[in-house]
Amino acid sequence: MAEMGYPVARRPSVGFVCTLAIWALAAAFVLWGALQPDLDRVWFLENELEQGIRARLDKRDRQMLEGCLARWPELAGDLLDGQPIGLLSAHRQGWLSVPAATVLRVAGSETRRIVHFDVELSPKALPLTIEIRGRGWQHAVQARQNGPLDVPLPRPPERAEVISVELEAAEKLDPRSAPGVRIAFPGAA
Amino acid sequence: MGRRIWRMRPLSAALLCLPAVLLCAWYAWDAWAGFDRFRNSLAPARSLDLELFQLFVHDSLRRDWRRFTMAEPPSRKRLQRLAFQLDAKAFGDLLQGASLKKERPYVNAQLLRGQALVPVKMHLRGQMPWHLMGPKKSLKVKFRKGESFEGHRTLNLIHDPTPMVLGEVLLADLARELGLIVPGTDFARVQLNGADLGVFRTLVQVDESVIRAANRYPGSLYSGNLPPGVPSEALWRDPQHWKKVAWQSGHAKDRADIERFLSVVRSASARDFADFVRHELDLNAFARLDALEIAFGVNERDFRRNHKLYFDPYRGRWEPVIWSLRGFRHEPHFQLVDQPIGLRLQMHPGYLSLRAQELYGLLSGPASPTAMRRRGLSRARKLVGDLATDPYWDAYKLLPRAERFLRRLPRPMDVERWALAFQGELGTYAERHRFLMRELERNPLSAALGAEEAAPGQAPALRQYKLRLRVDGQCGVRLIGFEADWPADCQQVGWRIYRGSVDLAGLSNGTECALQHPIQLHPTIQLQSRTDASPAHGAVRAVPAPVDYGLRLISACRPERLHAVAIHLATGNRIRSRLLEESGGGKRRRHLTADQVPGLRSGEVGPHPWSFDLPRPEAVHLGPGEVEIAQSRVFGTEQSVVVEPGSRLRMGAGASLVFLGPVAFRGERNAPVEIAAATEQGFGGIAIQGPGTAGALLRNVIVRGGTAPTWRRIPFPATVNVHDTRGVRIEDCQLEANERGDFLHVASVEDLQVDGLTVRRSKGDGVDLEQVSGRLRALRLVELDDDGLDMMGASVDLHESVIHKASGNAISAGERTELRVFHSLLARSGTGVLSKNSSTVELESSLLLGNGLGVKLEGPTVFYPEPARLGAEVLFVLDSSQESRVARRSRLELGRLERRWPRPGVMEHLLRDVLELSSWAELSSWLSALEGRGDG
Repeated sequence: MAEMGYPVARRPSVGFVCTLAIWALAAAFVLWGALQPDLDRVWFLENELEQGIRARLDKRDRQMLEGCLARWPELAGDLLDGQPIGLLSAHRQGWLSVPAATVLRVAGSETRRIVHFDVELSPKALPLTIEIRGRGWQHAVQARQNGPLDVPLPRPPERAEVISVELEAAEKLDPRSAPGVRIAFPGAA
Repeated sequence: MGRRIWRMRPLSAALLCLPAVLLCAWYAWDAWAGFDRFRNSLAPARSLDLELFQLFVHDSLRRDWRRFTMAEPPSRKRLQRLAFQLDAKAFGDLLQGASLKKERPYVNAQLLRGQALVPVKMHLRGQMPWHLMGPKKSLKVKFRKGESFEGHRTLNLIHDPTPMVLGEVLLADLARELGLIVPGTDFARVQLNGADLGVFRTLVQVDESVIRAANRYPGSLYSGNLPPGVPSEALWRDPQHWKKVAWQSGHAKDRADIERFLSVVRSASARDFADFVRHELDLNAFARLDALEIAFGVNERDFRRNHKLYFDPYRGRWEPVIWSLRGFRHEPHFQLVDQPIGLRLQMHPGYLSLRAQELYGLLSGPASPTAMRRRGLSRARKLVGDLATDPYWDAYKLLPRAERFLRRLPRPMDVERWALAFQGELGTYAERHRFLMRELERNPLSAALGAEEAAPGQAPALRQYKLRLRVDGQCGVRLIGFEADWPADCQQVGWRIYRGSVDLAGLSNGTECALQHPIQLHPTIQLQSRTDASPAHGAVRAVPAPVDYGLRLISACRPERLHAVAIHLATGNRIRSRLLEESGGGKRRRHLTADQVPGLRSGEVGPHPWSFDLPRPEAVHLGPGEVEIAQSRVFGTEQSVVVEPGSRLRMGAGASLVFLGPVAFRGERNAPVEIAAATEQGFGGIAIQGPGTAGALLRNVIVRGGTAPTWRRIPFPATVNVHDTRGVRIEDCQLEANERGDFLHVASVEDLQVDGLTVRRSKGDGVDLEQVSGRLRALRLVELDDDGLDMMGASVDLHESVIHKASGNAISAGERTELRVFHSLLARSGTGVLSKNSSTVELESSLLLGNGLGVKLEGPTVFYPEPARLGAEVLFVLDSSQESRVARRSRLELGRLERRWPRPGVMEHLLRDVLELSSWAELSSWLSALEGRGDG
């Protein structure tokens, strides 16, 4: 081929490689900077949960929140007003404003091993299935009639844990209105 | 081409990479510099980790992206625009002020106002990083003499970093509606040398202009703040820490009023404090401010700072002035922070109930969560366009409270974050609202009946039972009666309820008894140690403490059930007592006595309200006939005084009469009440003072001579004074020849009704009205050394009156007075009518005769920038040296000016009915006769 005057294929120059690398690094830097910081995301989630805009966290947000709680030990105290376990979702004195709940518990909540439910639904909505899911465990219980119901929790982990509570009634719960379920953590102040 | 790129040389590569490198270097440096600036001012030891660095890079990128994509400011201007100009040196000097903690020097600047440039001075304001760090810096702007911002000479432009933005402005609006004194605050868009700095919160400085804007008389205004390092008790011990920022004319250096105030708060017994409250404090205003602060969790007024107090000289009362209203907080406590004034007030009998009433009215009315949401959204709609285009809009508290450093970090704002933060604050408020309503609506009343005892002084068949009523909560009750269920076999002969020896209800049969005079039962407070004690928050917190009231039931048998029936003083609900259950092992609290001085220490319990021996209502009659008043007499609020027709009050040297309760001078045409000096030495005067005098009557009263009364610290300027009351009637009275000052001074009075008043030969004004509303008819004001009718901040109609020979103005209307004059004659005075300081005067069918100057209008002033006005459809101005003098920027609005006597048929009512003449030719001799002796 060389004898016919055609150029022979060569490796790219150092300059080209460096240019590509530097631009790639720059793009990565800008993308990294543009990513929503975890603490910023936590602020949004905290407000959205409290105001009932969001009823539940997806898996990624749950893991991100747990990661933040591990890196920022004071964060749990802020989210729970100094309590070892509490509701992050919108509620009025424990009565949920949304048909799901996000609970947070931290190390030191050993004495709070019960989640207490008070169920007050219309008979058509019963039975109510309550599914509680934590890190590596889950419980499902069914309330066949209105009244109190206690669900035990496993031992708290060493790190903060986000627990999700899903409610499924016989009759579909309106996502915009309070479902008639109260959550409490006996032993909490 | 492709080959060239593939085989790029290092130099070319370097050039191609430069933008990328510079971009990254720029944002990395910007992030580092932002972090470094902020940590230097807040947490110098804080180090930068990767997570924090990414946060700063993110914010930097977001800020620039926002500015890049941001729209232009809205063309429809919903906010005021303030455009300042500074030269380069002034700008440099301004920025240098950031390094000084206090006494920053003012620099010269100019404010663009219309086409004109108004000279101002400005300096940087604030200590926190957000006030000083970025391009948007908080400023203090001072206008020179003769110029103002809406009547105020000093204006603060605040870079407010609160995420809600609107919080303080909403609370200031509410406070103003409650009648509290609050400096004006709003929003404006600011430019500096053509550069748009975005939206600032405007806040006028608290000085005399704020007092005048609140329609109060200029009096003492103090600001109490302690510098760091000074012990907290110094603020309450040493008046020098209270800066006097406004004063009554001639009293700039007089500090006796604040010395008295602090002395009372610090060392008066409960009884003396109660007397101070009754006579020298506007208790309702303090209760309203407390209620507002409780409702919204405001904790700015503490042991060290943010106290502002105003003393109204004519009302003789202290009022609070609002400064900082940062709220929308919630903790499970009623009051988030206490301070000495508040603690003393909470120990005052009845204050807790008054405060609870105000609070309940707020929470169920203009401060309900729905109402607050509506207010907030209304304000937000006006603001959103400017905020969305504010290139420097930022806020703190946009990160969780994982660390104080993060919580205080200002971050770029946008409408999405604003909406979330706004709803979040309203949610916090809704939670606080629920908490407070639960506390307020609680039934505080419980009752217990003791064992059977012999009933001394009663029939043998009757027994006595000790009845204990307990009030425990945030509010008291008005006890109206009892309900009892009797055993079937009870031989009931009637039952009674006693307080001490007083039968409260009379003999009752059956199951109910109603008190003849309902009595109020109030709780008190106990001081507990705070878990978060600090120099600012103090060491104690007030919590409700129950108060037991002992009564006696006298009946033939013990009831099976007994309930006290009462009205809840906050909610107005009718309640029945619960069964009293002892807690704490029945440990009795020891109340302070009324003669003790509270030390404001943990464990103290407020005095029992029944330990104050409040005086009983009393009826006092003076006259008829000669009544010697050798020395000054003060009639208390509990004394109803009637001065009988035909009474002649002979006043001793310097003697005065001061009425604090209901008073009626019931003179009659043929038997007037006469008040005159008993000796050649003059007497003092008359004062009708305070809300207890509402409805006071002066009818057919003749006052001859007199100077002015003295009582406490009130500077009575006239011989007859009516202050701080309502519904006062003056009918067919005569005031003649006083020895000093004005003759009648009326201040802070609603609904004044005058029907027939002659004032002759006054050494000052004839009638002086300040902050008065009402109607005046048939005034005859003759020979006055100053003005005839002098008004300040009044809203008055004047009918069928004659003002003759006032050396000053026949009528002077100032300080936003609104006056309408009908069928009146203003004659031979220095000036007929003066309208000044944003006042409005309307004249109807009235005649100005022989005055030096007919009408005068003065231009706007610093405190009163709106034009003064005077209007009439037809104005008769006769025989005046000059008809009118109208200053620039005032408004004389006349249909027609007549210089000749009214034609027949015109102004007939004034001629024939008011002056009782048949032609205008008789007027001159009528006026001469008026000077001579009596009414024409």
